[in-house]
This record gives sequence, structure tokens and C-alpha cells, in this order.
Amino acid sequence: MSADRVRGSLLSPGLVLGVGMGGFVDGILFHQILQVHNMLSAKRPPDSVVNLEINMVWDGLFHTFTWLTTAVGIWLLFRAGRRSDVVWSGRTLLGGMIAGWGLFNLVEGVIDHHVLHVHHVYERAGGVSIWDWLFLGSGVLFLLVGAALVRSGRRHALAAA
Amino acid sequence: MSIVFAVLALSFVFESASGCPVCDSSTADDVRAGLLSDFTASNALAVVLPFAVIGAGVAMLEWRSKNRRPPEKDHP
Repeated sequence: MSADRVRGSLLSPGLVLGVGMGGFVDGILFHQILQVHNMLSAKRPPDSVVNLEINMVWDGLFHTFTWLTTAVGIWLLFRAGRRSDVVWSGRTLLGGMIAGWGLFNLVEGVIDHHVLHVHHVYERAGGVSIWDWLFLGSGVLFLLVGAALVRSGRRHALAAA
Repeated sequence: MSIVFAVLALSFVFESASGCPVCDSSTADDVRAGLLSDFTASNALAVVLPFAVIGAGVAMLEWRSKNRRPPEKDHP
């Protein structure tokens, strides 16, 4: 059994599920529970009912895409489950999910916080702050941890094969 | 992008049902105007682009891995 075959099949579902669930962490924790930012809070600060409602619509759009991404991840996992040549490795799946979360933090952080400036992690800090850099740092950290787990899972699966 | 348009259209239709919970006045016109004036390319890009970039990357990964292995076989 080739290493690519072991890695390729569960890595994509893990990555996509991680991106979706990472998006939900952002939306549920930062937008709703902590309320440190909303989708357009750098452009429309949520300081009036109208601005809150507009941000809520765009938050809903963001959650629509995280939901769709998670659904695609479940479909990819289901498809992998139908294959006879896929080695089921918890480490590969978990590693892919953690790497996917990191990928989300990195890509969303760069595009939305640093390029388009539609919002920042802690809006009350005013513009790009240390929190935005920590968000990117968490993305890199999750990517490295996820990649290490995927590599470990790959070795484990190859040894078991 | 069509999903963005569909959700915005829904919010336009249902916006009239909401109002200010403090002063009880309707906020529908202001919200509709805000959504319209805010519907710039950058707002839509901010929602779609991160998922599109990651989706393209994963699709490329899938394509590469598919081309390295034999055709799919289902469990009997």
C-alpha cells in the first residue's frame, strides 16, 4: 500500500471538516458568545440596531458557508468510507481536521483581517492589533500540529498494513 | 456567489418583520438601504474568498491523490 493512498483518502475529509468547524468556532465564539467582532464590524461598528441587523445578515452568510463546508466534509468522509482501499486512521483524520482549522485561521485572517479589513479579532482595539497576529499564529501552530499528526498516522497505517 | 445573492434576497424580503426592540420603530428601510449600500464586492469577497481559496487547494489535493491511485472500488 502506497503512502499517498493512505494519506490522500482521509486527509481531504479531515481538512474540509476542520475548515468548517474552525469557521464555526470563529462564528460562535467570537461573533456570538464573546461579541468581539462581527463580519463587517470594522466598516459598520455594531453601535446601533440597524448596524447590528446588517452585521447579523452578513454573519448569517458566513455561517451559511461554514455549514456548506462542513456538509462537503461529511460527504467526503462518507465517500472515503465506501472505498475498500482506505486505511482508517484516527490520527490522519484528527490531524487533517486540526490542519484544516489552522488553514481557516490563516486564510481568513489574511484575507478578512489584513487585506480587506472588514473586521479584526478584537474590534475595540481599533484596526489590526496583536490579537490578529495571534490569530494568524494559531493558524500556523494548528497547521504544524495537524501535519505532525497526519505524518504520524501515515507511519502508523503503513506499519499496520 | 449565487448563495450570497439568495441569502441577501431572503433578508430583504423578511426584513420588514423585524424592528427596534427598544423604541419599537421599524428598522426595515434603514437595514435594506444599509445592505444595499454595503453590498460591495469586498463584502461578498470577504465571505466567499477564504472558502474558495481553501476549496481550490483541497480540490487540487484530491485531484493529485486521485491520479496517483487506481480507480475507486466500493465495498462488496
